[in-house]
Amino acid sequence: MLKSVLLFILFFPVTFSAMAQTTQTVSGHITDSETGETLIGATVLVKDHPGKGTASNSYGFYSLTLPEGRFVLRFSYVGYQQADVTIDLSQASRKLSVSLKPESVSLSEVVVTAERRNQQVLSTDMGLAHLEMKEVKKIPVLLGEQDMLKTLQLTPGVKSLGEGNGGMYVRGGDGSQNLILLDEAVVYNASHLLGFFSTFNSDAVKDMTLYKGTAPADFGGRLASVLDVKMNDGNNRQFKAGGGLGLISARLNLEGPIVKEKGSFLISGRRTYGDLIYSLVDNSDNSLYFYDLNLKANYQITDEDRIFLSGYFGRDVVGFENRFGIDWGNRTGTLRWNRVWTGSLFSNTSLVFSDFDYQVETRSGGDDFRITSVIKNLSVKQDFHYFINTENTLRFGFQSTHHTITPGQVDLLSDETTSLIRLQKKRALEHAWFATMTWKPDLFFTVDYGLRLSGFVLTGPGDFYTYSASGSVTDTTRYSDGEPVKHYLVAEPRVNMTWVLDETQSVKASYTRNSQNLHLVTNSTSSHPTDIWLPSSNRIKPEISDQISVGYFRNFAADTYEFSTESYYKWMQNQVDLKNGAEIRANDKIEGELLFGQGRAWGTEFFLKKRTGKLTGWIGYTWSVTEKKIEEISNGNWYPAKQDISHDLAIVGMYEFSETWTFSALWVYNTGNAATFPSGKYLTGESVRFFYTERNGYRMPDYHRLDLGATWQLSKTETYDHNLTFSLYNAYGRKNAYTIDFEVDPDNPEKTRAVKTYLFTFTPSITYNFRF
Amino acid sequence: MKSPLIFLSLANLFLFSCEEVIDLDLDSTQPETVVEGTVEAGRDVSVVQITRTVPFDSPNRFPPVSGAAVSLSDGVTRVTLTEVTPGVYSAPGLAAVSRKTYLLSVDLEGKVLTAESTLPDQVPFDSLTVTRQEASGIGPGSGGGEKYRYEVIAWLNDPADQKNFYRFTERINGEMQNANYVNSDRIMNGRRMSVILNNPERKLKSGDTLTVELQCIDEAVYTYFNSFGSNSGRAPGGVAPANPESNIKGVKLGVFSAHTSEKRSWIVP
Repeated sequence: MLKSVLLFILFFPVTFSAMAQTTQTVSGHITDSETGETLIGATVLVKDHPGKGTASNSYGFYSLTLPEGRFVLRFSYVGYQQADVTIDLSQASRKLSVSLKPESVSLSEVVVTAERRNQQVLSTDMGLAHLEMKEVKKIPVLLGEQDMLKTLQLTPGVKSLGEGNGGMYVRGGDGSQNLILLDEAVVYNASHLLGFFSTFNSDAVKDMTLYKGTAPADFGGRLASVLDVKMNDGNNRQFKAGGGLGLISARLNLEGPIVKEKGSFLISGRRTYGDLIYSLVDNSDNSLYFYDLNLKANYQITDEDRIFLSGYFGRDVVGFENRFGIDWGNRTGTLRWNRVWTGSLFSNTSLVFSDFDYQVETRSGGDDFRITSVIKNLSVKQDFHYFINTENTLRFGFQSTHHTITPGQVDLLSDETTSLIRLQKKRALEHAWFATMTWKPDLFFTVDYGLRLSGFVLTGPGDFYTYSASGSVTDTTRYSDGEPVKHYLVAEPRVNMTWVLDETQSVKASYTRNSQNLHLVTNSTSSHPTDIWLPSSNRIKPEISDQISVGYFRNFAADTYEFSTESYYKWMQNQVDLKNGAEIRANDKIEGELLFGQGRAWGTEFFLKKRTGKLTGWIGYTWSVTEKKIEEISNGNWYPAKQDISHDLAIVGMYEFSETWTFSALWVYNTGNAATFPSGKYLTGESVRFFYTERNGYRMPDYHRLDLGATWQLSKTETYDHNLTFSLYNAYGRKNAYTIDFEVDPDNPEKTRAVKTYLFTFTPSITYNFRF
Repeated sequence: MKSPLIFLSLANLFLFSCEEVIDLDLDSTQPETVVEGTVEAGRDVSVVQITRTVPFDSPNRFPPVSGAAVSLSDGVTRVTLTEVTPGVYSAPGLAAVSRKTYLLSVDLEGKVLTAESTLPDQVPFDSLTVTRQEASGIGPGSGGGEKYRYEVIAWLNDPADQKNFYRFTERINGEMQNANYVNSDRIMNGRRMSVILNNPERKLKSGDTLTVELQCIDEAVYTYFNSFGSNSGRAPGGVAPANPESNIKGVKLGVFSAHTSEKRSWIVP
């Protein structure tokens, strides 16, 4: 351990510049003047000092170190009026918290957006997709349910497989390789009803950022991406209620001050009611619904200390006539403490709990049983932001996580005390030490370099197997409580560099290593609730990915248009797949059913966005290749991964026609993902079965779809706002293949046929939204 | 254990799904040999059928493979099977006895294929229950706008002292249905098992005879048929289908199964 700490220090030759003059620090929080919500990523510029400035962190805190003197600071954030504040830093450091006023809602005014609009050019961010909630709310959606994950799938490098699939496939990664965080808590299954809707209720979300494998060192644990979702804190000025009624669900959002301008709360809920309507017309005992509940409270204890408590509870319930039932859901809880130690040292301490469980019950009158599976973790994270001087910012800390996985137990319903199968719980500890230094020697060059050390220990108690290469158990060893069974340490260096060519263009490069110690085993899509997570072990090694990327960023027409292109290459080691016919349910030797191999992915992404004006929107295009190599599959040759989609295009437009009407449209086109189709058929067991020659050797048909949307603002005043949103999903009724099945033609047993199943042609919806 | 997944996939599609037959340009490959051998308790004739694969778009007529030298042995007695019709080889005289291992040997143009299978103890097919339910529009077996769906449950009492593997076949008016049912007692060992035979494609009308056969099979045969089950996942991007693991050495496809057989029938009122 000492060695790694030493390495750590050596790795950070802090690049202090000679400080010829005395400096002082100005720091504080940036908030919304109406709601008191902290603003993430708001910019602070020093007037008449080009290149000097900073941005608020994810807690709305900023710190800026300047030479002594008088300065004018310009605070700005997209959609808010900028504020210029004169500050005297002659004698001492200062605290300066600023509230920004939201821009007038009137569209006829010329919109002055004061944000530093070339942020994408100047920052070191690469492989990043950032969604503004205002955009998410305008985009047409399926059945009126706003869905941030679906909106993210419209950005380059993020793909979905098939209709209504909530799984995200980021730069060749699969659905289990995304770290999805809601207020720092892991969300293991981010979709409802098998992927058609996301678990994130957009009423409760403040901000969301997706790192496509290029996240800073304070994030880790998954190979492909980090999706960092922050919940609203709640209005600390006045009580507000909002909500909506849609075709399938109702939403209600309540927020207000606990102590005015000191603390606030937020309660946001959503439930589908399709089943309630259904039960009125049909007396059967079917159920099919989901709900979400987001809760949050925060309180400013002193000027320096603020605490936050947030929670999420969501559940899906599906049942058929008391014969079969399944329900599943995520629960998370986060307790955070922000402290401003000095003007240049900020810390956040988080205690995080999260779990995901599912239960399956089958009743047919005999010995009926229930399968239960749970994965949970308890985590502590300590994160420091040290604003060393104008050139260096250091972010460092550690995170420790305890995982408990109950991989599935089978209980008799008739006798609750008897378990038919009780698999051993799996316990593991994950530790990470991380540091990222941002060094900005001048206006034209910035580098973020960092290291994450990820340690993983699988611990007892229990019996642990040693497997042969082919997967049979060769030995069993018993370990006592807490005794280490196997440990791994992976050093993950990360670097992002930006060369600013001029105010409107830059070139960036990045290298990132990520590792993953929780592995998903599924015989279905990533959004399936009956997923099984396995920790790294004697047999399963940490998945490791290395990604290099280069990009060119350019703004046009006075920052009205943003353009970026990025190319990446990614190597993936120790990838996990399943043997054919693997028994994954309630199998304590499940690791013997796994296959291991490598992956590789490369591609180029283009993104052009129009940010301002009556017409806004973007065009995203991705060309990419994703391949896998597993000895037991396709004779050990490279073969296309199922998420291999060569061309992927999305066009999104939003048009503010008048104060009362806003229209939107999106069109997506992608070539089909790789699929395995039969190349012949044969007779076995007196039935016709299909013969396969190569894995993923075929392609699904091309997918394309047009969605249209409109928002009708019924009225909008300072205190009252209500509107109707309309959407038409799949406006030209394209019959996109959801699945393709091969079967004997029921009308002609002499023939076989391919049958495509398609969903959702011309699906209209209407939603009423209100806020007062 | 697979039924939950099938149920869920159906839930997926409950409201908005439509189906359409499509044309796909599928490759055709070199024909593969498929060997199907059966030793069945209570039947004194053993049958081996040898066919070849055909391209997907061809009719379901599988070319027989003639001229093979086929023999079966129970370790003591060895019988040679004669080709009774093209591609079908059979011979009487080998009594099928539980716990005995049978060996199959096929000499096909100089290439020798071998397999073995052990006939398990018979577990009685306790009963078959069929209940008619009004089709609800959602849920399994609701498809096709049928007014009713039939829930078919096979009952048996699993013996506790051994590992058991079961395969069910389903025939309507003598015609084999394509559904694939295999079960093991891995979870329900020693208990009364009720196996729901969930077949969304099942269409029954008054007067039809539904016949369910219970076969007790060995583990290798279970593995072979079980791999078809996991191929039926319907969710997009699910696990890629693959060929089953044959218990016959020397061919990719086919199975040699020594099994028991017991049937129960039900006539649709």
